[in-house]
Amino acid sequence: MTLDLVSAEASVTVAAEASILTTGNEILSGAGAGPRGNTRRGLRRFRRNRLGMAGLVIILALVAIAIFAPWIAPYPDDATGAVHVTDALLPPSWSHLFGTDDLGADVFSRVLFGARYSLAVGLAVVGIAALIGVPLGALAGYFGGYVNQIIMRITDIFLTIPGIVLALAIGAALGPGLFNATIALSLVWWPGFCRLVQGQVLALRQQTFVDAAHVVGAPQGRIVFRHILPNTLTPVLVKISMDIGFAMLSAAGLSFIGIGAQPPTPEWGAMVSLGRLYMPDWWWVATFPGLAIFLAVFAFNMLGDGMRDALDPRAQG
Amino acid sequence: MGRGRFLIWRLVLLIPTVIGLTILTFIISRVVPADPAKLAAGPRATPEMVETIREKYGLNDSLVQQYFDYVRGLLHGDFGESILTQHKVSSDLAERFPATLELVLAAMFLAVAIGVPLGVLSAIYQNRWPDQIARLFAVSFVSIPVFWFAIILQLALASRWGIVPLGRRYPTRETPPDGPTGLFLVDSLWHGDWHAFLTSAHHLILPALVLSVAPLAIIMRTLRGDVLEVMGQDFVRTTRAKGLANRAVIRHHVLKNAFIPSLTMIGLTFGWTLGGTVLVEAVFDWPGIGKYAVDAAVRLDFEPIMGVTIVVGVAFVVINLIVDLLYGFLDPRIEY
Repeated sequence: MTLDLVSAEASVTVAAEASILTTGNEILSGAGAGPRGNTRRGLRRFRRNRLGMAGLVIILALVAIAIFAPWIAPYPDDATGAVHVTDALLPPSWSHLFGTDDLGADVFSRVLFGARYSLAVGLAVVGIAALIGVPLGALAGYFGGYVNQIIMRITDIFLTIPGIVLALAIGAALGPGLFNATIALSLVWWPGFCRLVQGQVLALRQQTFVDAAHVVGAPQGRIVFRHILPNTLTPVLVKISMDIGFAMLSAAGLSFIGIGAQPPTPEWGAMVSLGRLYMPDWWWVATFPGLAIFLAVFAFNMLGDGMRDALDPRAQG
Repeated sequence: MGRGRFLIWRLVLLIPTVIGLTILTFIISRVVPADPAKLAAGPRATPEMVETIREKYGLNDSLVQQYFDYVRGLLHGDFGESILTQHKVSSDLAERFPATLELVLAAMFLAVAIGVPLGVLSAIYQNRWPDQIARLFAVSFVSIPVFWFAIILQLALASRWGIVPLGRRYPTRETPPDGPTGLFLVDSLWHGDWHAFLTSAHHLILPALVLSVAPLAIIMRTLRGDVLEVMGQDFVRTTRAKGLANRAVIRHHVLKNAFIPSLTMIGLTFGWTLGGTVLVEAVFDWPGIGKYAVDAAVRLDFEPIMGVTIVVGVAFVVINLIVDLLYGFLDPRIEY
């Protein structure tokens, strides 16, 4: 999908470099304690990364807006489909910052409420995808052989169809609605995590510190959970951050097509879709929800970029 | 392994991939829906119509039997029917695919033509202002909702200033170029018809530009990373040490080596662009398979959506095959 690509690119570099970095630490500071020292140093570096911090601030603001929307929004009833025919299609003004839509609803209030849907869908899609993809990738990478072949061939099949098209097909099969669109996107999203973690685990499995753990007689479960998986955390976190943005983008796309959120839900993609009918004379109806999507996705991208630079300084940004 | 044998081996490997693809689309159309027959018959179907479809699909048979019937249908070009128009999905797809192909190829051409020089420039000026600006644009471009960007540009460039047409592939009152490929740019050149060529290009430019924005950004970022990596290698230091000018080092030594890994990314972005057509064609009323899928989605016309999914999947598989072959062509070190 969009967007696996960017993070795929990032993770390739991260994959090679991160393992070397953390491995050194593991050996020096004793197994298991390494990643924590790195995290602290990474946090310090992240705070100096201006664009990353800007992304984080925008995201925190979005979260606050999503939580407090009913209190911040000047016309909270408009988010749930209130109709004021006499106020229809008013241009932006002090009483309606982003103007009003065809039903006379305040676009500003609806955009604020839209943050709830977009954030929830982005988090849900990436969360479910990581919950499916990370364990599968770890299994495939650690055990290799048939387990690896079976898991990775299934992953490959999902990757033969561009994400948005596959999500459209699954979404259509499940029936329209934001919940079904979320399920559809999660089913499309997990292969990216599976591939990332499989590659990481495959590389880590051959590292000296894993051999060392084997030699001292650590049980397999302990090796996987205490020694290998913590070392895949950095690239997985970077991917999660970037993918939340891209998942929001894809969900908005599905809603724009009509497979996702249905009107009068104040979802940004659905609002652009409706507003399109009022272009160009009533431009504000579609323009502001679109800007909101852009800002949110941009913020998650900046956060992901900043995290990558901070946690893995050797990777090229 | 020789080149010929590699080609054959790679073609053989297509078979399991395509089988996997059909299993996936089969599961989506027959296992995922609560009632596949009802879904295929559409929201306004009578019970009799649903029953006809149930009969036709053999939905009471075992899933394995159903799968083999499904594949047999696909092999005979049976992609079902559109409930809206009663047209065969296969002929609809054949009619529309060239429009999508032309749009995707034009967008990828723009993405490579703009993205590659920007990526190289960005790497050469690493961390200085041309690089900072290029990187900011790259992050912005992948964050833009493509359907919204399409609407905004359509509003500005077409509605307000009238620089380009609002949409469609060709003016409705004129006959589009007719030819062997279905790609208007190619067909009009084939006939030596400059008017048709310019008219087609005029309609194509805005949708292609909008569609190229995300792949452009991704290609730029990848190439920047690859160029930086190659520039840090020993052989580049050697070329500098023997006194070659910076420009010559980059042109003759760095670019070729950096371009090879970027090729994979270009192949992958092709897939994204194919997906992006779904959103862009809908805005520009572009008569391709993307708009076909969206029109079907709005009316819950299921079979056309599945048809588009299969065609896009197969197209992506073929593109990856071509990239693999190009790889070997560009990099003589690769042993098949």
